[in-house]
Amino acid sequence: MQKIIAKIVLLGSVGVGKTSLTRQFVQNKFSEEYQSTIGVKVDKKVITFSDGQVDLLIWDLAGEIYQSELFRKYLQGASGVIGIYDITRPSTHTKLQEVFEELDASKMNMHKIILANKSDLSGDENYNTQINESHTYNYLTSAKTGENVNEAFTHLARTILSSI
Amino acid sequence: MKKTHYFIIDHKGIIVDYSMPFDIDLNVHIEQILPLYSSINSYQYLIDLVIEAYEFTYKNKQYIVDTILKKEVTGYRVILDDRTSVYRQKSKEQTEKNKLLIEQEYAELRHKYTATKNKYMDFVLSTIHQMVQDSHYKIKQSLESLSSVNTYVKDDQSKIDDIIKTIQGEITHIENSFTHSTVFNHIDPTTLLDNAEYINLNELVTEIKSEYSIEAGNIELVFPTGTIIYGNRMFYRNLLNYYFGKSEKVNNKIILRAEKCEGKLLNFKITYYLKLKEFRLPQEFVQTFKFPIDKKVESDKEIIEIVFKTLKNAILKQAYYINQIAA
Repeated sequence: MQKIIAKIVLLGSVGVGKTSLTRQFVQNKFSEEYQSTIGVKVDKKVITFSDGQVDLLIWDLAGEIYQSELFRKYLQGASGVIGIYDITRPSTHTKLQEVFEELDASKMNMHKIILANKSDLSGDENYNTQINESHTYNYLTSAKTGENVNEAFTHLARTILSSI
Repeated sequence: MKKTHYFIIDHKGIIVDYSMPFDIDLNVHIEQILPLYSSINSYQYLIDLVIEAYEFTYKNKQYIVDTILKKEVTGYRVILDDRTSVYRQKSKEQTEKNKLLIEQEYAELRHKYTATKNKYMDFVLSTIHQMVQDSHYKIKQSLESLSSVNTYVKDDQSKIDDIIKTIQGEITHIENSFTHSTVFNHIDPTTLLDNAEYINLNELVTEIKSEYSIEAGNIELVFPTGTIIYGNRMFYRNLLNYYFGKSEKVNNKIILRAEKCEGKLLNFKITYYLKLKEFRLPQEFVQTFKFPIDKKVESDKEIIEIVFKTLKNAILKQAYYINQIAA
């Protein structure tokens, strides 16, 4: 059975839910209280498939690092990137689209997926989420309810394992 | 934790020496304490890279450090500069700052949303006003002319009949206009430049066509395959969908013509067929639009006005056609 360690990096603007998604995936927990990540957090989770095992090292970067472009130095050695935007804030999608276009154009060989997060707020009258009809994403997720969180991380791990 | 600490690890990542404020067992892997350094294979990317504000928890205590990995003869040295209290304070400040930023973003979105809705309402109201103003004028005139007829004069009876017929006709026109104002659900110009992008017209039409039961040969495209338009994809999809759904499908074509005009605009014509009550065969109808082809239109109010005007005319014409069908 194949066993690999894969570094994946979470990218997204401040407040899109990177830390919450990681916490939901690794610990099955969610907190309503927002606390800004100021640097780097690294969590580990082992995913076992029938034909192999992936030890995912999840690098959760502060939104400020992403917005200041400093994140590029943390992408070195990563096998995958998860781009996250908040479906209630269109600016977070625009920024992510720009970054992903640049990553596509660069020679960095990484698997990429996009998560449209905070699906639990869809339909909430306090937020206008209609704008997302034209957005592209791989998974509509909610760190709060756990919707598609495992699926998204597992999908990326599977893709990385299959590509080796 | 004192200010600067270190771990000495061997080539497999096993801790062989350390200086830390807490006790750990020797011969454990560094990943037990610092998951950041779990993968020896990725050390080539981490050597000499300063990682600022790295958060980790050990024995339920959180630390925030600046860290760097140095290569040594017997393995590696991980140096940690403990800045937990400084970063904790910074985190609190950053949290407040971010909350404020996000709130501002929501406030701007709410404002934009309300402003867009207001603009949309203006558009709808002024278009409906234009739709019914002729009828309103004719009804008013007819009612005024009633004062000049005498109900006791036998010859005036036919005049009264005509006036009532006119009024009934115009009221039906108004009713139809309101009934068919669902067209606004399909043509909302306020979304035209939301998330605008360059779109290949040919590809867009092919995409929509595949979702319809229209025979492939029934859509004729009279424009070069590389024709590009600029704007919101959903806006164009809704608009084309509306007309694709309208046309009488049997044996009748929808013809889409496009040609560049006035620099930043594209003249776009949709020819389609509707069945009128008085005609045996479906009759040809043409709608003309002007679509942006350049991002620069976003800052050109005059051009946007032209685009909106063609959309308004299209809706008015559509209302007229609908009345023809209902007549």
